[in-house]
Amino acid sequence: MHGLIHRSIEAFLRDSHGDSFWHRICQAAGHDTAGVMPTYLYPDELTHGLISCAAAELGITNVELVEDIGAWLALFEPVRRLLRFGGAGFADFLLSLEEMPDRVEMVAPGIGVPHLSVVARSVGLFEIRAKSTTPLWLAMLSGLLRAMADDYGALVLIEVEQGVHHMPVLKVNLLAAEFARAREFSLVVNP
Amino acid sequence: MMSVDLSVIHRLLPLSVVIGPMGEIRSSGVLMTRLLADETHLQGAFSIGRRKGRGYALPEHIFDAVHEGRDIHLRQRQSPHLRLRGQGAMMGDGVLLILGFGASVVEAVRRLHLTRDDFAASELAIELLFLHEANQQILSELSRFTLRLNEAREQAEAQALTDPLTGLSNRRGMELALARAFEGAGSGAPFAVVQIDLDHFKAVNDTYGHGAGDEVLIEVAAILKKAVRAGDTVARMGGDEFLILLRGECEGAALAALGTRIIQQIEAPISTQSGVCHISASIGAARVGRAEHRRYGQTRVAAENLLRETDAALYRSKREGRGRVTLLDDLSHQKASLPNTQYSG
Repeated sequence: MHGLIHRSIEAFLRDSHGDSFWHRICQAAGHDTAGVMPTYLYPDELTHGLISCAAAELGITNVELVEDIGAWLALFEPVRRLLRFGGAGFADFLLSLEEMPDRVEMVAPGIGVPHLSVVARSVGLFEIRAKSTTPLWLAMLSGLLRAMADDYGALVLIEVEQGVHHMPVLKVNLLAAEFARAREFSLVVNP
Repeated sequence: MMSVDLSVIHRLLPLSVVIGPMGEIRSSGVLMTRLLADETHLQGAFSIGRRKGRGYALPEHIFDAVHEGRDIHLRQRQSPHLRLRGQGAMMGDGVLLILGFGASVVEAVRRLHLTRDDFAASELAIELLFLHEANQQILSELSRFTLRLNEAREQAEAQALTDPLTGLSNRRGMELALARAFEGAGSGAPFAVVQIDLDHFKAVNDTYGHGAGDEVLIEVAAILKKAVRAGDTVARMGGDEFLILLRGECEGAALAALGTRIIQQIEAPISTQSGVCHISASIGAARVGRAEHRRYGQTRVAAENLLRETDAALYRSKREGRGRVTLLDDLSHQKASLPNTQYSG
């Protein structure tokens, strides 16, 4: 996968578990310990190796680890800001997720975020599917959405269900759009 | 006949305005109203944005542009780097202007504290702001990586040019220093080389082992380092061979004196963990002044030639009984049947 994805994994692991943990995982997974090349396309097996090794070391599942990465990303200010461009409120933000792969592709060509479909089933009930063979994208998204809901001050219930052909579906139940105060967001970073 | 309510247009397009023939404001969108402040005429708040149009009165310029189907460029008088760009359409005897910030949108958002509501949904302003910020983040990520690569490269380069045992330059480092002295910037400047070969060093290795040999080499390196100035280069060329590059003018006698002093210091007993070692050194030295620069030229083999000749001087020191200095100058003179001078340590 794209170097920026490895970079996210690296940044999360270093930030949450320390530099030495990251180096240990690199060695275990056979990743260059000198650091991630941000534009390099790493073999998918290496990406999965990183995730599996880190999850095993932490005693959690791959899906749980990736959820944590998603939540961490949304709390990381530069990424949080980019996500907030998606919409004025959480519902808008959810619906704009379909545009996210294209947006990301515009600034990081080749990053390979899978196509996302967002369907509003009824008022406040959204179903999100990812066109991908791995369930990890949706897992990452579920962590990211939980954190972004907090950011928007929305109260949500998020569940991953098995859909047809064992493809997971992310069900987002928006219980209250303005449950708490949204975190500050201005269109430009004020110097 | 007007069939669209102007207030609808102004609501959908926050940067729209209708002006009369004299530039008087008839109605405007929310953001435009803010930019106009309390001005009653468009020219009170804006000037013509493009050089070509200056000198015209603003209303005249706008009406001309509308008739000719040209774009309209405006600058806010208060902050001239805020540029607006758009089109106009006749509306009765006035003009409806639909404007946008173009590339100055980042600046506009910062200065005017604009929010999502200040832009028409059809505008790409939010996309532009997103791209701008995302690009900056990717760039900073890339430059972070470039910085780290550069540090690693510098470190690798320094390692590649350093002798790990003594911390002196290695052969490669000395070759580069010599190439610079001959070919690089400031070439043509005088310099001198001192080639040092340890005597009786093999005995140290044979008697006390390589550990002691290494200690001796480290001690010699320290002596050489202390004997030269900061700008000079000292290298371990391999085994027990050292080379010094002295920058600047150097008299033959001074060069010989330096060599003699080095030999004296090396001949002092060196204590190692395995025992006290006694060694000496033979030296060949050469000065490269203007004449030599001419003779060696600036070719890639200049340094090679110089070292080969200096080697001959060193060999002479060895043959004459070791522990002494031979200058290349004297070697050449001797060839011309002049008396041989040698400096013994």
